[in-house]
Amino acid sequence: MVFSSVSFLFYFLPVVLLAYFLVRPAWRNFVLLLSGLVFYLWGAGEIVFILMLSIALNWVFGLMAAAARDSGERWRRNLPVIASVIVNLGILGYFKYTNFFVAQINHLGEITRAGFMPVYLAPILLPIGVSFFTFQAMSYVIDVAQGRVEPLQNPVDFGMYIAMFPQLVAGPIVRYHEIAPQIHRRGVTWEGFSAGMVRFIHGLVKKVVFADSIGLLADQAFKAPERLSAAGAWLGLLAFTIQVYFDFSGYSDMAIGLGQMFGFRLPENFNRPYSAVSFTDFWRRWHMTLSHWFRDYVYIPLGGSRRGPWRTYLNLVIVFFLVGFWHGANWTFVVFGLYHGFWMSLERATGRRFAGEMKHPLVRRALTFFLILLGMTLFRAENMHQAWTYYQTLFGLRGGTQFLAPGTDWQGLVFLALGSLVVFLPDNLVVGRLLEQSEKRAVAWMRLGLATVALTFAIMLIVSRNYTPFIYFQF
Amino acid sequence: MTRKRSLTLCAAVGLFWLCLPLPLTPWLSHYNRDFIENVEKRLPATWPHLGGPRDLLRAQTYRRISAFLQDRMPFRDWLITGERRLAYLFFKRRSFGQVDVGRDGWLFIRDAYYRPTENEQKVRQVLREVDYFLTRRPPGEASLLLVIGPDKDSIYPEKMSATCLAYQAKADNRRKLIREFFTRPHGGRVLGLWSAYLREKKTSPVLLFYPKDTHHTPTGALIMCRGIIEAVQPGLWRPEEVRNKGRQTKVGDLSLLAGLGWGIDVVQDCDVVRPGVQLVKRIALDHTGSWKDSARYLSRSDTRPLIPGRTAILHDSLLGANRETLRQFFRDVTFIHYEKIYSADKLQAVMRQYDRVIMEVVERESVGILEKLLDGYNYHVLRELGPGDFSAVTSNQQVKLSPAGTELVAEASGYDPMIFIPSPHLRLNTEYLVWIDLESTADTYCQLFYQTNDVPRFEDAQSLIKKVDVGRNLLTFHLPAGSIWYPLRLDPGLQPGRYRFKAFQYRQLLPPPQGGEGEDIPENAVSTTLFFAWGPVSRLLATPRGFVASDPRTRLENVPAGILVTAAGEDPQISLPVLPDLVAGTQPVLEIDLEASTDTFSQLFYLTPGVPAYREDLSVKQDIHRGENRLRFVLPPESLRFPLRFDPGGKPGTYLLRFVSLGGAWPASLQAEAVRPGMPPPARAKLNMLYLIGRKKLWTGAELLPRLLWRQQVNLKAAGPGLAVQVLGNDPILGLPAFEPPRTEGYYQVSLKLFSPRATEAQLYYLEPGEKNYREEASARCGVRPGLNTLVFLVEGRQLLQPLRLDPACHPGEYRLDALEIEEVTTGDLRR
Repeated sequence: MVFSSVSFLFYFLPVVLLAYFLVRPAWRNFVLLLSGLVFYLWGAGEIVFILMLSIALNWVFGLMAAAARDSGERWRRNLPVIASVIVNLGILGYFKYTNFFVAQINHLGEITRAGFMPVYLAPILLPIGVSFFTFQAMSYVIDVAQGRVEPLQNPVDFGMYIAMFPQLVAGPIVRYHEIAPQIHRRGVTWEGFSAGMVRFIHGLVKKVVFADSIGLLADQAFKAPERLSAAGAWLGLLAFTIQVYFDFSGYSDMAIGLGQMFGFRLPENFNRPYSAVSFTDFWRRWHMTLSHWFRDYVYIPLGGSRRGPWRTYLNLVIVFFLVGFWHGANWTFVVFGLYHGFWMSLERATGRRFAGEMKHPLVRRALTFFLILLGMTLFRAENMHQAWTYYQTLFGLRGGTQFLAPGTDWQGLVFLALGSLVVFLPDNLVVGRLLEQSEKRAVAWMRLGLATVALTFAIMLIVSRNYTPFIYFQF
Repeated sequence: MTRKRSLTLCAAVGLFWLCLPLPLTPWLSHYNRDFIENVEKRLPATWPHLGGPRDLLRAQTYRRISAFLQDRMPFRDWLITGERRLAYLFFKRRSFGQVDVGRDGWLFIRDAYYRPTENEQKVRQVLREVDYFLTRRPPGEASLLLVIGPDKDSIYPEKMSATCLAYQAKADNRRKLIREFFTRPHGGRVLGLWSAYLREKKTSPVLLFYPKDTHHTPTGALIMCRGIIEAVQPGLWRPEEVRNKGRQTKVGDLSLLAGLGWGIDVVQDCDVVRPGVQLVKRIALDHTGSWKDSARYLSRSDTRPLIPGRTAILHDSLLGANRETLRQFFRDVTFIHYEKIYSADKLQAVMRQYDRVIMEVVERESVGILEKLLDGYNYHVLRELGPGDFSAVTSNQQVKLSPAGTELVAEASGYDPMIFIPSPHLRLNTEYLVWIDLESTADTYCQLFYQTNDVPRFEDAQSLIKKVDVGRNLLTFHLPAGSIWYPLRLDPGLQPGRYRFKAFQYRQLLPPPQGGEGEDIPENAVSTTLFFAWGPVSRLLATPRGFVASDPRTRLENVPAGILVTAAGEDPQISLPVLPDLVAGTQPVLEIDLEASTDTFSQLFYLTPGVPAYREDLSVKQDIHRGENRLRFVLPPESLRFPLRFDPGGKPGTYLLRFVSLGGAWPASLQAEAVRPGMPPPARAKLNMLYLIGRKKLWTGAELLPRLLWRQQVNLKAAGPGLAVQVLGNDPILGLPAFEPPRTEGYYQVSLKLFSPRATEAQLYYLEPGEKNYREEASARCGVRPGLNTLVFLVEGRQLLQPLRLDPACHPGEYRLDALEIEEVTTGDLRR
């Protein structure tokens, strides 16, 4: 189930909200756990058992980690963490990467003519959210093992932390210590609920109205790059870059808003990433919870920047290789990660990472965005060949004359223009922010009107997606 | 209003929107049902059937629940229509699903000018069938009038927008063919109405088509009615009988289809009233509650002439909406919606039952409708499997076959069930149909795969797909003319379920009117098959079974085009090798392509048991003329046990043998006893022949090519003496023909000369008598090194009685099979 579907918005969510606020506060975690499992079952079917198994095992590992904290033996202290990492990465590896590795092994056998029998494997379907809940589970066990937080004694509480549906399938990745205090005590107020609902609407509009409309342009461009002119290819790439931001940040906004409705304060995930002045700055604004997770649990344990410059560069490359690979089992994501790792290292080497350190932040911002834009080709392309074709088209080395696909309407272009304004204008000029923060009476009415119109339009788009007339209908 | 309050109000609006549908759903679902059925023309999604607790764990169950809820979302129609209108007004969207917006708000269905699946080749094929249907009407059938209703975009092309034209430019190479064909009169059997509509449009400002609908207006309808009446009985139509009825409003079907809501057209209304024509009786033949009801109208008139006889009008919506006008011209007319006769068999019944049949077909669907209606209209059954005898049908994967009474039940356990059905060997350039009587428990699609010489593997491009509905279906697959391989693969459905086969038939379409090859096939022949070809004939002289000149005045020599026979005398003679052991009952046919230097005759002499010398009465004579000739001699079966003598001409001169082949006809009476399960008769005959000619069998790769029974993941091509095997996947399969061993006891050595580009592994599977499926235990593996390998497998004689399966490698790559040898090595037991 996705947030922007009829079944979630109009049936699942109202029922869960009703149940959540009708039961006694002590039962609310159970309601959230149950709704999370139903939510997962709805989308992934029987793979819900994998989620339940993960919950059970990691809960036990957490208890073991707490019990072994005071142990003098290092291996005893580390054992639960190692077990958790093996189990979680095992789940992730099996479901997400097995097909990829098997294909690579077979391909390697082919090109080296090694003569071994190819490995046969039925395709393994990727369960939704597996990348997120495994990372959360690991963060819990590690945080407990490090003594940063106390373990959860009640499996329902722990299950709720892992399976809470607002952030189950697409984040934000909530590190346990960030949310631990809220698991037992969280204040649910009408004000908080209102803010959450507004945030949810905000995210829904970003996803459904902006991202999906702009996505039509990107899809057309990447469907047949060989037909595009260079200008058409740049437009398509820009559309994808804007789309992916609205899509992902919209989903995060919805998750954070839902969390607020239930009384949680989930961490922010995006902060105007395309206004970054460097790659380092970009990753402090883009998918922040993922960056923080890798910083805390990979980069720092690897030594971070404490072991000299070369080791730092290597650590950065390793981390971004993993970040890229986390995004998907495809060489395009690997190269995407390495591309970002390279620029991060270069910035580290030259010392030019933040706006305060440079003379021309606007130029740096434009340059950074240009380089990010180039990297997005790898993020969107289905394979390296398509990425290469697209790069050639971008730089006029091949391609056709088409700027827009025939039949393209204004919807994608209008929202691309509006979206670009939101993304590129300085923070204090963004209309949405003004609307959100202004105390003026007229603005307040405008805010209400805009929210009503935008939500209605988003609902129209969601519902009309399901308009499937029988084409050869009887005239 | 403060910021806080406005945020609260925003949240309240959101909460209201999100929570409103839930309580309203039970009350408004009926309202949605109307919208879905009337506008979307489908049934609302239903609540999933839960067969047990396990269904609660299937994601599919929840997808269906989601669909169920989506269809019951209150205000669904407003939201959809609203979104589309906004897109139309503000975002200038000009394509809504299958509907394109033209100029001045006109709507067009894209299906009319953009049908990527109907390519030129398909259109030509269907038009050939239509031509055949029109020109070969057997006696006793009704006279026929095929009426083609033009599409709106044909009559009003100026209303098409750039979007429409962009689609049209993409794939409308078929339109020209269709118009060219249907504007020809075909002996008065076709009525193409394009020029009539265009003429009317030029002279009158009245709209002939609704702007927001696919149909013609009442004025346009009268053009079609008038065309029909004047074609059937000129002079009956009187323009003064047309009555103007004022204005008419109509909700455009395209407006609904686009989701734009109830777009209304206002046009001039008119009809025809023939004074004095009385409806005597209206007999409802069925009742579906719509204009598709079949009905018979009996009329009489003392003042106006009526068209006599029984008339059937097979219609769709164009004529269906004009029953009242049309019925006034006929004494006895029956309206039948063509969906009710949607098969060749039913159409045949209608054609025999009425004096006159008028068939309406709209331009855009003409190919599809006519293909379905006419497919298999003229045929004779070549072979029938079932009822009661489906033993030759074998399962391949995800399906379990079991007989049930006289039927065959296929229980599909997965989403890609496959079975193999044997077929008679199909002749080149002859069109065949596979006709299947199938009962299904699910709405799905049935797909028939075939292989050809050019593409010898099963793939989607070489497949035919038919929609299968719940219940009984009569499916007709039209195999293209060309060299088809057997067996055919049939995927009965795309989902698990029970598929019940009542019968399979192979139908051969009757030969075209011009006549041609095949007319001298014996009456009882199922088909003919090529047993053996000596071509290219240049090899004939160099082989032990080649031809020899049997008189000193005849000289044979190889030339690039074949074998040149130089006859110094008037009676050149050539001896053909002995072909002693054709299976009893076959009907050998010798075909020779011969270029002669003079007009003369060729003669083939044969011997029979007890007749040791060639005689005139045991010969077949055929006139030949100067230039190229194709000779065809049908021989008695036993004649091949003795040498044949071929006299190419009766005069001195040169005769060039370009191609020589020996085929055979297989009498139908032999089917039952001669066919082993899974092995169609021609194949068996062919294999016998090969074995017995060679004694010790030696097949080069090129010889093996046409004899392979099935294949998978390979491309094959003759390459010199060998067979280039391009392996496309990790599981390539070749089905080797069965080898009739002289003795079933003892051992035989199967030797393969295989060139491999890499280290891999080959595997030979065999079947024990009575077995139908290959098993790992009944196979032998052999390592393959890079380079040329000689692989030797040892099998027992009885294991050669059924086809062998060879997996030549387990890696993709370019391999070459140079030879396949099977020879008897001993009668003892080598394993000791």
